[in-house]
Amino acid sequence: MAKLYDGRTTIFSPEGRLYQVEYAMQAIENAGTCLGVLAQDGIVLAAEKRNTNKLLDEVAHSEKIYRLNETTACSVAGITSDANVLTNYLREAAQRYVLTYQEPMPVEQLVCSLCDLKQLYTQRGGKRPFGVSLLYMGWDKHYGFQLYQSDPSGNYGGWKATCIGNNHSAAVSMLKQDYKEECDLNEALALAVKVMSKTLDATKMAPDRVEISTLTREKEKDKVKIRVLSEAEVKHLIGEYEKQQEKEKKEKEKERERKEREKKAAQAKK
Amino acid sequence: NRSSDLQKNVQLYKIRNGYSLSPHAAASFTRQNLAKALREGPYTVDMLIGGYDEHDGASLYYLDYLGTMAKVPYTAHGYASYMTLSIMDKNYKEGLSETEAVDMIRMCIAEVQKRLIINLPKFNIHVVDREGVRTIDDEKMET
Repeated sequence: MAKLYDGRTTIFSPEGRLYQVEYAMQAIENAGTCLGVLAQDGIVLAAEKRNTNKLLDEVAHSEKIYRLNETTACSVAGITSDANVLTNYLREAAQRYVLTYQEPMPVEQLVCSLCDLKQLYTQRGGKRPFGVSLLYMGWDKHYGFQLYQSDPSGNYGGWKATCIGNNHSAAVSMLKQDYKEECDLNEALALAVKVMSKTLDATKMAPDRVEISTLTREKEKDKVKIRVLSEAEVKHLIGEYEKQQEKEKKEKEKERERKEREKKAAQAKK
Repeated sequence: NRSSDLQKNVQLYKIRNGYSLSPHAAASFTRQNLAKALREGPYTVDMLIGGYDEHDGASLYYLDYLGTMAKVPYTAHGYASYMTLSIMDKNYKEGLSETEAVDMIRMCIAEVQKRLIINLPKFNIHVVDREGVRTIDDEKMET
């Protein structure tokens, strides 16, 4: 039945679904994971790097994290070429705003403007939707630090912590459990590393598999800093995470042994 | 017509986004419209835009029909500027209270009424602050 109605993006199916949009979201299911965590004093975006081929030459500034303007950056999951078009549009939209209002574009307005474009491609022109989901992190004077997610349908939402791409549902449930709203940037980084390692394909997380960036703000200078962590810093974070894992494992072992001993003691009494 | 267009756009911004344009942004937006119109159908209007913002406090902007914009502590447009800018140069201090500022304005108005060839008996003084815009009703102004 679906076959009759999924050919064109501009038709609804009888159940009221837009199959092309859903198929676009499907394309992202298999894309490299991206996750974002909002902290009290900043935001963390972590992205899985898929281009780990040794022959690949080094890319300019960052592979998956795009700087949009002075105060906003985004990460993408999905078809890379579509993503490039969208990030271009976002950058232009941000500059158009500065040209008119002489102040940086508020984050939500920037996200909105792109989502309006994405929506257009689900309704007009007979063109296919963009197969890209984005995570945006930014700061503005109205709402402070913000994290947004948008998908091919043109829908967007503000999040405290979220994930897109491969294994995103597992990641989101982990975040739901472990995320604390009052966390600071370091705790957010630790959480991001923890969740990332569980969602990556390979068994071991390494600095060349993941890209981590942070957005913070220096209040006195009124300056927003968007930074991609160096390989050394990522290695350090992974090291910290692994140490923590070891510690927890040992504690679990001790706990288990203690329970065993208690059980034996109880049996002996009988 | 076209100026109410500008005003409605500022209001639309607030409805769309839930917060108003800051005075600086509103002045920049107006300035861009003035500049664009310059080559097609220029507005023949000079403006002073004053506003209050939670983040930056009170601010005053001088705009003219050519698309100039400058943030200023005090200013004047028209013939008044010949007579009043020097008064304000002398009397203005940073951190003036509202009463002191209004007194300075009254000094300027008095000077204009004395020296300008055209008789201008009535003036309106408007104050823009945290609570909004209000007019100062003043008997003293009528000569």
